[in-house]
Amino acid sequence: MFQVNYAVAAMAIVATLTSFELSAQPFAYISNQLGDSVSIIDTTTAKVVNTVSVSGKPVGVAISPDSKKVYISTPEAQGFAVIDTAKQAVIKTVQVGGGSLGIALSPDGKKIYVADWYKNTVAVIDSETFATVKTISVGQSPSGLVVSPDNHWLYVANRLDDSVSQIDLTDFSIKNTSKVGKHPFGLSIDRKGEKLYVANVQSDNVSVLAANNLKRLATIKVGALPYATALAMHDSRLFVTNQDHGTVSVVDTKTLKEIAVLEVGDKPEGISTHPDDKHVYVANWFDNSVSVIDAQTLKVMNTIKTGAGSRAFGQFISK
Amino acid sequence: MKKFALLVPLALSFFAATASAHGPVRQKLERDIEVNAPAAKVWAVIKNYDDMSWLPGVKSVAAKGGNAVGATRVITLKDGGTISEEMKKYDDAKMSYAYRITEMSSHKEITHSGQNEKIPVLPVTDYAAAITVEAKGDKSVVQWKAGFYRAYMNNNPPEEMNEETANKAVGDLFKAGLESIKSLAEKK
Repeated sequence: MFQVNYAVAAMAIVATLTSFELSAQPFAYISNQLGDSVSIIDTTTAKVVNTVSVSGKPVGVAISPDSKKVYISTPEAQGFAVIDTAKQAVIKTVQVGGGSLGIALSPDGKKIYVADWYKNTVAVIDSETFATVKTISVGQSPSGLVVSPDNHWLYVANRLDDSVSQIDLTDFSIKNTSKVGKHPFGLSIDRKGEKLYVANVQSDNVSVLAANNLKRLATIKVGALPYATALAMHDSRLFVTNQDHGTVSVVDTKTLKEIAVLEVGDKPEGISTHPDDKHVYVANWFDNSVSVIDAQTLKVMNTIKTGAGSRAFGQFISK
Repeated sequence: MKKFALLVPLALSFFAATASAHGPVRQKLERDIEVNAPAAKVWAVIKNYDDMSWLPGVKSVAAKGGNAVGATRVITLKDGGTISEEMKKYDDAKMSYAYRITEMSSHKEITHSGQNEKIPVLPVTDYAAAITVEAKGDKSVVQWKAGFYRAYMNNNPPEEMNEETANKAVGDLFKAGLESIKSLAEKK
């Protein structure tokens, strides 16, 4: 009797551990714009474990800090879709505007920010009620969005204005706007909230800005049509996708020099760093795949087949 | 009263459907052709950036920069239109190069939503392409691929500038070009 109970208890513990591990391990959520879907990659096995249908030509990706929800911007569905990561299914769609593209989450997970490419605004949405609490007017064709780690500032790349704006999240006012290179798109901020890195699509470079006042610190030459950026290895290395070269530029953030160029798939776009801080994932739009880069050895470890037109614009790996 | 209540949401949803403004979605196209000739011979037909004699419809090419990245060429078509392109990537060993359209002339003007719209000779925007020759034993495969947006970047495009038109134009271009490469390489 005792033994039976023991076995049942042991099994229950194993089951609990297993399910805990399943929900805890990082997954990459890759938006496939032409395929109207999101591929879910288990980053421990480098396999696509599920493909979720998401209509409306999905582009942008943001993940809640607890990794329970994934938000996917869907320009053709005028807003975004909410994926429940336990169910691996869309549980809600939210209407925002016709040019919904860039999407980001506040570090506390309470607010969702959605840039509207056509209306030149950023919508601030409550993640509980999905109500728009504020609409902020920004520059032309806002694209990439990032929030400072202290949740004080929102940064937006205004693509057609060749600028970046710094928005105070306490009153939603624009504190600074700074000119960068031509057609800024994706941007990243370091963990200390000190530096911003902005990929300028049309000028083949990355602008480095001081995060507190948007002062221009440096401009770094990279490959052709840089799309987005990601930091890894304790912010010591910056990775930049070069669409027209099919490469990723690796920049040393101390010397601000390009130290390597890695061949990935064709038309690389979205780029995100794994929570281990040692691997960088790149969505290859033309090749319908994801390249996994070892951020230390600077080798491509894996190429994973995804869906049609993988873009994955934003932070797309869960914790 | 009940009928009225039903009509309102219907009217609203109709409005939402007609006003369903959305941005263009980047398109892609890939075509290949098998050629009964060794890869080096096929590559020789297309490898020089300033030589577009293999593409039907081309009258002349004015190029600068050889086969280096950053090289430019202006292609004049037999019907008078021009297309300017810039080399983005060139790999002789891999028998591949990539380029992007930087400028195009228009061949037609239409009025759409009260605006004059010029239709570029290739009805696309933001067009980047690559052409590659791959050896398959003593034969080869030429692959041509491109990513592009439709010509009309605002909402609700006219037919001449929508995705279908863009895809058809690029598809026709690829078909004509690849068939010409095949016949040139197999003839020699």
